[in-house]
Amino acid sequence: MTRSKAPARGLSDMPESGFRPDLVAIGFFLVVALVFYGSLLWTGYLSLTNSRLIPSYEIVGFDQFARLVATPRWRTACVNLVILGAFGIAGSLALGTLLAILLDRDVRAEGLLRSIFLHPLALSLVITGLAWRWLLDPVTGIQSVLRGLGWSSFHLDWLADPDTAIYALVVASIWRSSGLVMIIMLAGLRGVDTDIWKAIRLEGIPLWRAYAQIVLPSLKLTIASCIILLMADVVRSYDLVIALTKGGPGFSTDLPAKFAVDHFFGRANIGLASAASVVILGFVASLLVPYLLIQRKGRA
Amino acid sequence: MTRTSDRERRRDPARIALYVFLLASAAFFLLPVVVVVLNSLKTMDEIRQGSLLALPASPTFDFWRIAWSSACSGIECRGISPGLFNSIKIAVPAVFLSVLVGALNGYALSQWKRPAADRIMLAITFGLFVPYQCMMYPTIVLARTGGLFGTYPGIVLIHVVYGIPYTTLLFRNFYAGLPDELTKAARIEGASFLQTFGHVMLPLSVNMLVVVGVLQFTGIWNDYFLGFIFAGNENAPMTVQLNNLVNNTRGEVAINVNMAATILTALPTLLVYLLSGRYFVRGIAAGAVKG
Amino acid sequence: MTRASVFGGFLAAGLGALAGPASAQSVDVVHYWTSKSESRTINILADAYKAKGGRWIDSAVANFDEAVAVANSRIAGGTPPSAILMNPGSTLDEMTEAGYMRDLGDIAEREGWSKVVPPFVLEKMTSNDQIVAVPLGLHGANWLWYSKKIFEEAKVAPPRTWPEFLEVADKIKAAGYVPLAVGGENWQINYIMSSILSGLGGPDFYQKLYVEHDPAAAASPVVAEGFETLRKLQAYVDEGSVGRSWNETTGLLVTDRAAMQFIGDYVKGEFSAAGKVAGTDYGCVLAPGTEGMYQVYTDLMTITAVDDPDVVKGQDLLVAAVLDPTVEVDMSRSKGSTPGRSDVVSEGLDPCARLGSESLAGARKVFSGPYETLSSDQMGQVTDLVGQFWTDRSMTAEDAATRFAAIFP
Repeated sequence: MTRSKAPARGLSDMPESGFRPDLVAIGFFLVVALVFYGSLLWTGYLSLTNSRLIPSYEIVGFDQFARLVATPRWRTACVNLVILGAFGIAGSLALGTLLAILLDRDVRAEGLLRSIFLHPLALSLVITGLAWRWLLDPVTGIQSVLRGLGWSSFHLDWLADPDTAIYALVVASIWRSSGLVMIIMLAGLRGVDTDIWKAIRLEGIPLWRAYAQIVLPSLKLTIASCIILLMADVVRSYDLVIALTKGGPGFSTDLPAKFAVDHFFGRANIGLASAASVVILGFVASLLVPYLLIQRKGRA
Repeated sequence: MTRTSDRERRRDPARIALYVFLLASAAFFLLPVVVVVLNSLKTMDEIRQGSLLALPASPTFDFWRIAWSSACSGIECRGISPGLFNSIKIAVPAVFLSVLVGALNGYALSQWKRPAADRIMLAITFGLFVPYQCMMYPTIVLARTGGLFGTYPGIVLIHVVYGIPYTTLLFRNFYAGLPDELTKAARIEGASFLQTFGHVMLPLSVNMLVVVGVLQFTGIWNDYFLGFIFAGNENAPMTVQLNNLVNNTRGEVAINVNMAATILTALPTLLVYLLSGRYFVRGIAAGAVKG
Repeated sequence: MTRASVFGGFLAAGLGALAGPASAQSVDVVHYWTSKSESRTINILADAYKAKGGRWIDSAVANFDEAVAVANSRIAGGTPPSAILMNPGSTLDEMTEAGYMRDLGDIAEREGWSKVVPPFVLEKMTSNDQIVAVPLGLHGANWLWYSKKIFEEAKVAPPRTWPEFLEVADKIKAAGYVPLAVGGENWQINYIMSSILSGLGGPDFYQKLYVEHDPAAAASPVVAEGFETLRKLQAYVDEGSVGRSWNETTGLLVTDRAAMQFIGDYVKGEFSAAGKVAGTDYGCVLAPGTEGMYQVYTDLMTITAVDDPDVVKGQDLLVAAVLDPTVEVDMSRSKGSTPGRSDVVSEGLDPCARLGSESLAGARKVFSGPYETLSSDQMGQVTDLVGQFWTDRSMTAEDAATRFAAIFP
């Protein structure tokens, strides 16, 4: 984007006089490389060993990966990551965008509503988990409240059923993340050129079509950055599982990050945990490819 | 806008639907917090017998007081208050440094106009997706090698370093969106990179500084895992005590005290969000929007 | 250079970083006793230690796994705690092997521990031929707790076999109560499963499977029968069971809503906190079919290897405080455990505690509980499997048994 405005050649004529962004950037990159990539390499190495409580450095090959693939709990965790990723991101994006569009329609108490939608972001996952665990508990939660009010057939026991418990996590994650999407999209909508709106009004295009075909497509970079932030949240959503379900019932709501942490610590199996971490990073890399493509496209 | 047109608009069915939806959403967003607050004001008997949405019969702040100053975790029965100072002590410098590092690095990457800068940015962005829980062991050994494990500078530094991907990404997008003439003008006057950054760019970035500051403050304040591993005993933040209270797997569960403790821990971040509201929106508009 | 010596070196370097001014004779104790009765117990110890002139730094962490995690992180980070509350087992053995633990052999010999600590407990304190810990107390595992009121109303007696258990449960259900209180966390389900296997297989089977990890025992038909029994139990559980902690679950017995629970004798802390009396309000028997054995978990204060002479002195003092006869008795009263010393007199034991202490004195065969005899990795796999079986009703007992056998190669 910026590059097209200010070609590097023009600037290089100027005296260098200590204007060296490259040194700063490289300096910080070295720190990141040491802490992130150094740790990742180390983890990769450990995944090839049979380290238990204490790291061992004798390479045994891909045994840990073989065991990982054969472990039902790991497979469930990976499926859950996909479910949480797909529904959680789609849900947050849809709700957040909808709220942003509505708030942009000149509503009263916009500031208050905005704060309400945004506040979950300020709360720790401990409080998120406690509250949702309670609300969705069939004995104490919404189910019993509504039944108490006379709606005796009402059924809401997502957390109790291994097939639906993961969707409780989806709900909590939408609750948590929609606010961020809302505020980013709202900012995006406010930035839309007034001329575009004038044209829309002149042409008499119905509002929903204006949003679907003109306004939102013009914000595709904004939407892309929302998706990136949401994806990062999903991959790291360890805390949310811990707070809400601890992986249960059974291991039906386990996630790869929780699997890895459990094996690092409680299970004292650093080798297997490292293998799990390596696979998670594989996921990450595969997520970054579309991001790259979107960025390249956006710049072109 | 005249009064009549305002009233007409209010009667418009689409308008009504809009408000209904917004209010329903607001209820959905507020429900968990309302439940937590309501039940923190009830006695355990009332919680066991009544519905969780019922208003407290005789609201009492006793459990807030217990959570604050006398709930036990381990042999200490001093509530979560001792951790407050530690949390502030960690969060304030960590947020300050983290924002500064992100701004500096983001600006550097926006000014370094070579393909290498893009590649570095990508490599840094990758860090955003790394579940840091998965690389604890090597990081601990690194911290030990630097003599930082279990120390106050250690925990601050680890927050700053783990924050680099996020803060750099946001600031780079922000600075990439500013006109290059600003930097050029400063350079023509012979300003160095740091001078340009400090005197020209930083004062222009207030909104963005607020956004990143708020996001980092929330993350660092709510962090439990890093505090618990890296901070050392003396510096353990409030969340560690909160976790000891709330995640107690053995012994009786005092839900009201737990609820009160979670609210108390959340108050600073909620306050920061409410106070920073307008800057926050502006900053987001300036930074995050430009992918 | 071996791993152990590398880490030994780090241990030496680490203590300097311990924050705060190091006063003479201090210990930094990592433990997970944070509930009311637990913190009362650790306080008894801390007070006794402080009375002897030591400085106690408390590192409380909410649960066992996290406590071990923090202890190991600190060892890896070069600032080891001076003592860690743990159970014997594979984790402790690995730590000892790596040179993390202090050998207390000379103190043991000087003080004549073998005369006051029963051989079973002394064996638990020993890892890789070194004495690395002192006992805080012993908990029985294979217990069945029941509500006296419900049993009287349903006119049933405590079941002695698993078929009998099912009959009793049916009668209780007919009387309108929840027969079995289960907390639907994997470890709690697995707790029941190991009681079932112990009861169906008997002491020899327990020895073969859990202690010797014999593949033939793991592949025997007893395991499939055990899973079938476990499946049948699901008919007797209430709908609020999912994810419920064990002590909330005990609440169902306290309020006479559910009749029975399988859990260790630390549950007595919950009953007594609610003002319930053993033998009057609630009863205790060994789990069906396990009368011949007593499964025990030993709470140990393990002592780490450190170089700072002040901390070593502090550790010496801590060891003396733990083994102080008065402290041993007070701690076991507070926590519902049996003291680790055999020479202390504890008067006025309730019927459940009496059964436990008679067992330890030789009335029946004493074993370590499954969590101590299986490695944490193996136990984890068993727990995952049993948890999956419990939640996935389409899984057959035969499938589960096949997968169970695969965990014991």
